[in-house]
Amino acid sequence: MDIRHRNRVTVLGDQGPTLLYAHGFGCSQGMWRQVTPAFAGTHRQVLFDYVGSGQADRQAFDLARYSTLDGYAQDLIDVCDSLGLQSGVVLIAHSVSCSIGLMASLRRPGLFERMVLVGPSPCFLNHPPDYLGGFEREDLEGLLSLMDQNFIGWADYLAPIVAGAPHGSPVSTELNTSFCSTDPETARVFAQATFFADNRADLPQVRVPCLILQHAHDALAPTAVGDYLHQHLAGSRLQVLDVVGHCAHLSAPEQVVDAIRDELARALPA
Amino acid sequence: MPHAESPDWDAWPALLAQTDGMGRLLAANAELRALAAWPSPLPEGLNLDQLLPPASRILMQTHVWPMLHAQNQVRELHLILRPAGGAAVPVLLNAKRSAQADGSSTVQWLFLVTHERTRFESALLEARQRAQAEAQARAEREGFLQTLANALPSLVSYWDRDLRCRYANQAQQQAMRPGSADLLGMRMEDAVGPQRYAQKEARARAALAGQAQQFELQSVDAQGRRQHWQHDYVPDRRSDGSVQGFFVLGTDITALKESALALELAALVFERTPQGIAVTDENGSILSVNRAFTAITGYSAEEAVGRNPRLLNSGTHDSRFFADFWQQLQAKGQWSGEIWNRRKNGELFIALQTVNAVRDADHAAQRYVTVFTDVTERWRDNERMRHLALHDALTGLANRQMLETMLTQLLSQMQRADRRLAVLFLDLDGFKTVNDQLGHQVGDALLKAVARRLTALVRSCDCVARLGGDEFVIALDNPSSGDEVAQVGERIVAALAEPFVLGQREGVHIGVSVGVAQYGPGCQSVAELLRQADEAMYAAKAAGKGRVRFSAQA
Repeated sequence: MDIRHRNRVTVLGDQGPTLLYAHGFGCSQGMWRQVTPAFAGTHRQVLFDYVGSGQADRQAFDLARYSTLDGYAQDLIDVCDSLGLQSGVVLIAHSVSCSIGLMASLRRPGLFERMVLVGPSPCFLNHPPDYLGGFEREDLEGLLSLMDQNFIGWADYLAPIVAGAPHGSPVSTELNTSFCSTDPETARVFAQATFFADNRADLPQVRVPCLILQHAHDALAPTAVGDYLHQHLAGSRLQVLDVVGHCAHLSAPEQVVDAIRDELARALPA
Repeated sequence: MPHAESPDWDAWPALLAQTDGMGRLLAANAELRALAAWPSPLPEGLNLDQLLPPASRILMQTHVWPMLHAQNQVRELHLILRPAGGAAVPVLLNAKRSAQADGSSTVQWLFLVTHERTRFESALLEARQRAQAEAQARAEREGFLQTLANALPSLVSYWDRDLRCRYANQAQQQAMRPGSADLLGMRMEDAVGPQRYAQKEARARAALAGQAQQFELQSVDAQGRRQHWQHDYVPDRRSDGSVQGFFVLGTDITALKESALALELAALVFERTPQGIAVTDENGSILSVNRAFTAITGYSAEEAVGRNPRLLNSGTHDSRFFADFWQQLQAKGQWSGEIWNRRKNGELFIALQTVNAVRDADHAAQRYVTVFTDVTERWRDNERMRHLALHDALTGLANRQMLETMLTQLLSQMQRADRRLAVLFLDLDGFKTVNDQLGHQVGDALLKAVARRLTALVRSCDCVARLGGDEFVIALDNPSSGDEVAQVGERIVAALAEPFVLGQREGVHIGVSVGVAQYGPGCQSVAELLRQADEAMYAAKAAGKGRVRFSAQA
């Protein structure tokens, strides 16, 4: 199978250490476009879409595989294998991809030299009293319901009526793709895999140095979650970005770029 | 610093807000402030997230913000707003992001409350779903009809007013244009060829004139077999009465025709066969009879149907005969033999009869088919022949062969029981003189008269035989004693001594000599009995005629 086609792998530049960017739920590799210019020329930068997201091959979607984060971790490893990457990779991951990256690092020790985790959360659900991920199960059910409503009411139904165009015409397709998750079925599966995952047990096993970029005011991953990660990831650094929201690489890309530069300049711990 | 509120915003009937690129609130119009219970001017540090319940917050972070950054706008996205302590408000979100000169960005937010709108949308949605369902049902119906028409072995087609084909199922296509051009759009004339067209055109015109047509045509298939077709032309009449075309249903009725012919033939055979036939149901009720049945029995079909074949019962056979009959019919499914029946006129007849138990065509009901021939004449002929073989043609008495058979039978009984058997050998005295003087005819008449007198003198179980000429033998079955035998002998001598009246002749006198042999230790075979009786008769003649002599061995 052609992984580079399946995961829509993009390689920018052919010199320098490899930066591998992993997008979060609801997004695609395009979300990194304000970050990558900063490393053009100095780094080889690799971007991709998970199967079920962005422009990845829809035909490759396998319900069983992508119902848990394991399948997405395998995508990440597949992408590295397809490019012959075996070590020295710097993973720059957003949101759920942070958990996916940590899983991949356990499966392939030595693949990642270090990881930059933007807005990570090992578990979105509350497990009181020890852990508060920020959400209850019914909140996530509400999210799925909202997503359905938007897919049905907006992309599938309203678009053709508003445009006076039949279903599947170019107009409705355009409106459809403007919603980040292009496929309602795969988006639901990814949403469940993301929000019902619990990767807290993985944390103590991780041996890769991590930079945690915590948003100062994040509705999805509050600062307590960043602190929890910092405590449980041995040798990690925690840096709080002056950002409201969950997408620093979009709303404050310069802060993310600076943090990455700073991290790359640091010597690896012995 | 929040921007100054525009007075215009407050007049707008929608929820409006302005934030920076991270969702920090810069301004909110009166409706939004009222919904969120925010004071005016807005305090610092408010964020749109504060209006969003968790699910909407996730959607905002995972979808809305990425879209705003990618495309600078978001249109008509469903969200839920829920101010602290307030109820959930479903909204449609429209937002637009604009970059500022300093590199920062602002976002304009418009929330349309969707209570009313949702109702409108759901009505539209329902209408669309209904239309889709109807379209699908229609497609399924058409697909089903198509499948149905193609599954039919019959020819189905439709022809318009110009006699062009508008529809043809697979069988029709195959029949008319096997492996060649599509029938659709073809003129009937071109599709069927001139010869066929000549047969069909008038029918087609009549159908177009509104008259349904049904007719049969014959054809010969590729293997040279004759085929029979029934064609139905059904006018396609519109609501205004006009005929737009006609439907054609062509049905292969070859098998039907052939089986009808076969049935006709079978019926003809049944009716015309010279043997009587009766078919009964499992209860023995007659279902049908043929002409020969009526001719033989005298019962018409009307009289016989519904009756039991017992109406032919002659009363000749005992119950054991019929028990055997049924037992064999059940066991072998067939009985055959001779049976005495009675005609309607009371006359007995003997039938050579076969009864078969059969199942009808559906293997459902048990039927009995009785086939019989009236063999009464043949039987009579046989009886006559048998009689001739065993009897004296002149007198009707038993002949030598029958006598010996009877004696053999009687002798076989002697072994088993204490019985007697006596043989009387008779030779007429003076017969030759009568015969010579009065002629053969009188002689024959005399012999017949002697036979009558002898027969009258003995019991029916005794046998009177004529061996030829003027020799007679009488076998007495189990006489009570030698005396009784002697008495019979004496009565015979006396009876034949009486003068005979033969036609015109009166007072014809003859006599008889009688020799008697009886079963005993020295006389145990037919030959011995006859020989000893013969010897005794000669002894009687020698002793002076008109006497009875017993054999010495007796």
